[in-house]
Amino acid sequence: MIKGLMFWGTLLTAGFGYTYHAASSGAGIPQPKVKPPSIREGSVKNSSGRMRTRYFVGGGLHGGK
Amino acid sequence: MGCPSCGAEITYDKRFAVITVCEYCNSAVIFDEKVASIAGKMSAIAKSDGPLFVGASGSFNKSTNFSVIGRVRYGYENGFWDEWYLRHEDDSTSWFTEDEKRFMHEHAQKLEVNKESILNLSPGQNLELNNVKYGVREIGTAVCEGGQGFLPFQVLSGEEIPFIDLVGDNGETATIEVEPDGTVKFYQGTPLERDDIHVDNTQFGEDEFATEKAAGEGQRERVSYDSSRAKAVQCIHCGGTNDNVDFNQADIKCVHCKQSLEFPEKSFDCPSCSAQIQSYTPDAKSLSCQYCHASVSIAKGEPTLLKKLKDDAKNKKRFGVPIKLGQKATFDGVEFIVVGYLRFKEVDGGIYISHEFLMYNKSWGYRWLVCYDGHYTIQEKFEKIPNIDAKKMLHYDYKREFKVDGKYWKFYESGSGKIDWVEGELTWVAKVGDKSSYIEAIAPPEMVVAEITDKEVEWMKFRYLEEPELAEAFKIPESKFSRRIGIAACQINKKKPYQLSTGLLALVFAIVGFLGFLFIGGDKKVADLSITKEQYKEEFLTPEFELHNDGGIYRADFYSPVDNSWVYLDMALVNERDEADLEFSTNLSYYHGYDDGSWSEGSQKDSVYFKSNQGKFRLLTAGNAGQGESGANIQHGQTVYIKIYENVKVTYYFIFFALAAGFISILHLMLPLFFEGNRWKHTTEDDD
Repeated sequence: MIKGLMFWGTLLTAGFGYTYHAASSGAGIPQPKVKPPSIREGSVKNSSGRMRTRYFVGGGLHGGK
Repeated sequence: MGCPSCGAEITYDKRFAVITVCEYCNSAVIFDEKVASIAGKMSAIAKSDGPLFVGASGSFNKSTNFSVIGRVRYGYENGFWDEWYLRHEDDSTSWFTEDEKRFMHEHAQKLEVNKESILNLSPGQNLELNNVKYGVREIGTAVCEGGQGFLPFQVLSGEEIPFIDLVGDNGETATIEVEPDGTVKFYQGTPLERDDIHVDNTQFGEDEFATEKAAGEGQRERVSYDSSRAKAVQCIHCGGTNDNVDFNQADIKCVHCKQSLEFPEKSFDCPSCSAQIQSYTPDAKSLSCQYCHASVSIAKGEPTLLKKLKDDAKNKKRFGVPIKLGQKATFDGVEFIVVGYLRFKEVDGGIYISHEFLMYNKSWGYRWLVCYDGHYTIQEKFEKIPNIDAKKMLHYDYKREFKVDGKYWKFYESGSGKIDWVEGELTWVAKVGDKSSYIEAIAPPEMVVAEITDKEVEWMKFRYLEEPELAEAFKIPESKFSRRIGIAACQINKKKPYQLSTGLLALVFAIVGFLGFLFIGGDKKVADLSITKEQYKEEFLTPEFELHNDGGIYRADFYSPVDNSWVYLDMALVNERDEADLEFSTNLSYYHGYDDGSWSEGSQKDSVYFKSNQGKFRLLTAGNAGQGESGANIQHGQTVYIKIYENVKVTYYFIFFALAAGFISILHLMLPLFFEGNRWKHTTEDDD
């Protein structure tokens, strides 16, 4: 019984510790890009080779309810 | 005074005796005033295997002195019992009743009852006598088999005495006997342990009771064997059969296990095959022949063939029970010998088989060991023998509670079955096919069982045996015993303390995790932005705001008063060099209505966590909006409010942890309930 209790006690303590660490360090959340793209007009070529005028392409669409 | 039959000197004290039995010719001599006359003959009776004998003196319960001045033995269908007539220091008298190593101390009491009303009682029935409530335990007719010494009433060998055994509310015992002249005798008493009776044998020396004294000290009567007869002894250690044993050797070893053979108490010729069959106990009433498997009654002394059982492998099969007849086992520090076995079969929507072993120890007496589905229980002694009407309990609902032996028991089940197979020796004449009903009630790890026949209700108490105790008792590895199936009626959940402790521990962690989700924070608002539909219909850069922690965690909270509509925004966090450090989006969609009840879905709020370097930033936004199931239409858009916080922690991680800990908690807290469910599964299925 003691062994089982110690196992679960250790596991839960470790789980809580890791949760606190992950919550404090932001594990798994988006980070800044290493080479961030410019948002200035004409700064990036699109797939057809033309310089784009908008940063967001194809975004903003929603399927509705 | 001289015996009127043989002239031998006999003593008589009219204060205690109506008749005295001549120890030389066994004449029952009755004294009428000054004249002695022969009432009849008393049969000579065998020495008792117990501590008592006529002429013995001693004390019981450490204070009450007694002398044994007479004895009468009664035989009945299933065996016999001895009644020892006692004289005390104050010249009062009482009785010890000895039946299968169970002792009762009883006093004769007056009882004004109608003989017919007594004879119409039935087992299990309750009645009140001399202000004590009793239950009828057994009803039968005994036959006087003989007597010794002084007796306070007239009785002769062969006379039939109807009797009723009673058990009181507080464990008292009582016996009603109807004498040949119609007199109803009532004896009230209390049960005694064998160890409560101390017989002081030293006072007798080499006197007339020397032979009896030897019996009282527990010495076995050595069996004499005819040298021309085949000799076989079953080893009590390994159960193996040893043929052609030379009894003249001092120490005979078992040919199978090489341990010393022990000699049986008695031996008989099998009435079916003439082989020798042995009895290791003094009270055996039936035996089985190990060669031809004839079932033999020795209740009346001479062996009588009851039935020759089909001796095949199927019947001998013990279904993974490694216990053999003759094996020794030590329970509670007392060494027992397995002397008998019977298989009990119940057919009730399925076939249920229990293996029941009778064990014997000279001091403890007889003790049952029962195996069902690989689970073992061992018989324990009652503090107070129950006097409940067991027949009425046959139709109890399961889990109904009643009090027995000082504690509450839950009714488990009732049923009936029959003896399917017998081996070895038993203390009553057990025959294959004998039927009985039973009720079982539990208070784990104990169980009480009432076995009910037409003539008798016998209560027994059992205790569940865990595997280590069983294996240690028999010195058999645990692996040799068959796997235990399901949960036994009186099995205790040994893991319950662990399961509850772990469940509570995990619950504490779950609560701590939830509190972490609610209260761990310390975040600080660094931006408060709003973007109108006119702004986000094209790409739009918000005013500048500053983030202070390099590599810190930030949270953007979004709110828009969408109402049966939606807003979708793409966003980029733009640094001072007009570079998009990272991108994220939000989708605010909230719909509600009434359709067989009110409903809603989605939310007007959303949050996004992100990491960022320190510096000054703007949000580049572009989005769309719409309503219903129609396509995007920016006219339905709402303003989106954005608040950005720094020094945040990802608190929803604590929810994941709380859920995991909660699952572990619930699982462990439920396990004892699953255990109990499995315990009662058998009974609830029967009800269905």
